[in-house]
Amino acid sequence: MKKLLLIAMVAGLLFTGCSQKGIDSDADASKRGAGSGQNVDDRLNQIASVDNSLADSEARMREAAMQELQKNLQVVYFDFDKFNIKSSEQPKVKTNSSLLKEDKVSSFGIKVEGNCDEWGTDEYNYALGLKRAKSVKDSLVSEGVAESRVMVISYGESNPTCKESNKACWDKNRRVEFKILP
Amino acid sequence: MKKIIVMMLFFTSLFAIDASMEIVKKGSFTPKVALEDSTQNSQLSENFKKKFYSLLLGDFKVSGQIEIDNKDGYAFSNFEEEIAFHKYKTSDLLIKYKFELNNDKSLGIVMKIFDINSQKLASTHTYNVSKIERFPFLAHKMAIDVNNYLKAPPIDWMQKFVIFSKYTNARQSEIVVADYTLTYQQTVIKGGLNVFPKWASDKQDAFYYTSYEAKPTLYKVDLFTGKKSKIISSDGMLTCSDVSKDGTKLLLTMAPNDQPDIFLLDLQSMRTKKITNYKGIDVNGGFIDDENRIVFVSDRLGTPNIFAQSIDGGEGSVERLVYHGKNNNSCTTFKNYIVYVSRDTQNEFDKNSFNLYLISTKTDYIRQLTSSGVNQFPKFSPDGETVLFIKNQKNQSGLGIIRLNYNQSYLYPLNIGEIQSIDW
Repeated sequence: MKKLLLIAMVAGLLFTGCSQKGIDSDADASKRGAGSGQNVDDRLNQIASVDNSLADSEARMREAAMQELQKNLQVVYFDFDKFNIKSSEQPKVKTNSSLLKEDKVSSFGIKVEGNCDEWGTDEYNYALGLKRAKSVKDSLVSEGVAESRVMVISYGESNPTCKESNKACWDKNRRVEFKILP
Repeated sequence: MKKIIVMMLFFTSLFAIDASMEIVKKGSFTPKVALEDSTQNSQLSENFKKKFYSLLLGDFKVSGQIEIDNKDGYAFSNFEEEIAFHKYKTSDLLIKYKFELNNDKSLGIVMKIFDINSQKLASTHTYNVSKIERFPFLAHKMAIDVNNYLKAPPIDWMQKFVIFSKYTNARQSEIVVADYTLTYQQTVIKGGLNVFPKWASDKQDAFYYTSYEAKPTLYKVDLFTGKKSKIISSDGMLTCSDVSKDGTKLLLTMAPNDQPDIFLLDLQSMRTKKITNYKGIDVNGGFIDDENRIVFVSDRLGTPNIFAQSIDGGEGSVERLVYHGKNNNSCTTFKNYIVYVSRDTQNEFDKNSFNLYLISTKTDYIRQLTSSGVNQFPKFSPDGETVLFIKNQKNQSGLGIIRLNYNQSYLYPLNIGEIQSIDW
């Protein structure tokens, strides 16, 4: 009987000690509190915050300038089987040059696209379209547009703006168009 | 017993003697052929059978060497019945054929050639295509074999593929392989702007074409594997206008400095040599005179015309070839012969504006080949006896065929799209 009591008393002390330790651990932790634990948010402090609003704003302005320029550039038309710029179309090229030299667009490239009407065999027409584009490029360069900004290409008969079989439509298809390159 | 007269046509050869003489004389004896379909296969529609029948009749007619003796049009008879030869006394041959649609969906055909004059079965032929839509090539092969039986000048060109580019929309075109009647068509390149296809050799197992990408780029494509390999790029424009006989050299129109000129590309070294050196337009180069010279189109006299020059270049070697017409903007060559396109009218927008003409580089001979419509992009057949071209008339684009020795021309319309360029 005495032995059983002794065992019970020891067990009781042991369990009482454990729970006291548990309680004591929590209390100790809260006392230790600020400044002494491991920081777990060091990496959060290092995250850079990028303010893109300026670049985004610049991109939007650039896009707007491109669209504005594209809208204002005039198509240049040509006579049948000719690639020289006729006198009535020269002012358009001059105006286009001025627009292309403005500061806000001076970094843009320009693709000058030559086109033809449906008459004639297409291989000749691809070359004719190219000569038209080249004539316009040369004229832009002579007006002060940097040559390195300008590339030429020909689409021959492949790119008509209209398909009717009449003179008005054929006149419209014999042209050079401008595409702004970012 | 009547003898079959095997000489079908008597004519003065364009290529052998003096090209200024009359080209065509139709002879007294052209073999007459009666044609009968014996197909009883219910899986083949009446429409299909009649379509095939018409196509085969068309092949005989285009050959210029076989006359059709079917007064009542489509004719049918039993394949195995005994032939009453006396019923065909106005014909020299009776052709009977029977289709067989196989279990694997391939299409077979058996043809019997009966010689009416000797009253016997002369020969039997069997043909097959793996897909029914390829039936035009059955008709062409049958026509070739009947023609060969008659020992007429060969018409093997009928089996050749035609390759063409057709515009489907603005800056969109596809490349199509077809038979010469355009009945069979298979698109081999699609998506984007794909132009100026050119067979790499007479074997027709590969072709070149220009793709408009960031820069115009020339590709070579294996017809049967579809494998594509890049050859060269150029600023501005790029076309392959001719291939040397051994396939190792190409004549290209390129514009490396925004200036269109003709170049020779050696495919073995990949070196280019500039041949023309004029500040205007030089295009459409073609080999002539054993590939020692080229013929080409240039506007160096103010309007497009046809010139020749040594392959080694040098402006001093340039020779004007055509003194007729004010706007001669395309040409094709075969040995010493050139077919070119000329604008005939003063007002460029009148009817009958562009016609084809044939000249010889050795004589002053000139012959007009067409007389109406807008005729462009002529191409000689490999044997030089036929000219293929694009014909646009009344808002319809089509393929034209001219049989030079028989003074006959035929037109095959393209139902959808507009033909941009062709080769065969």
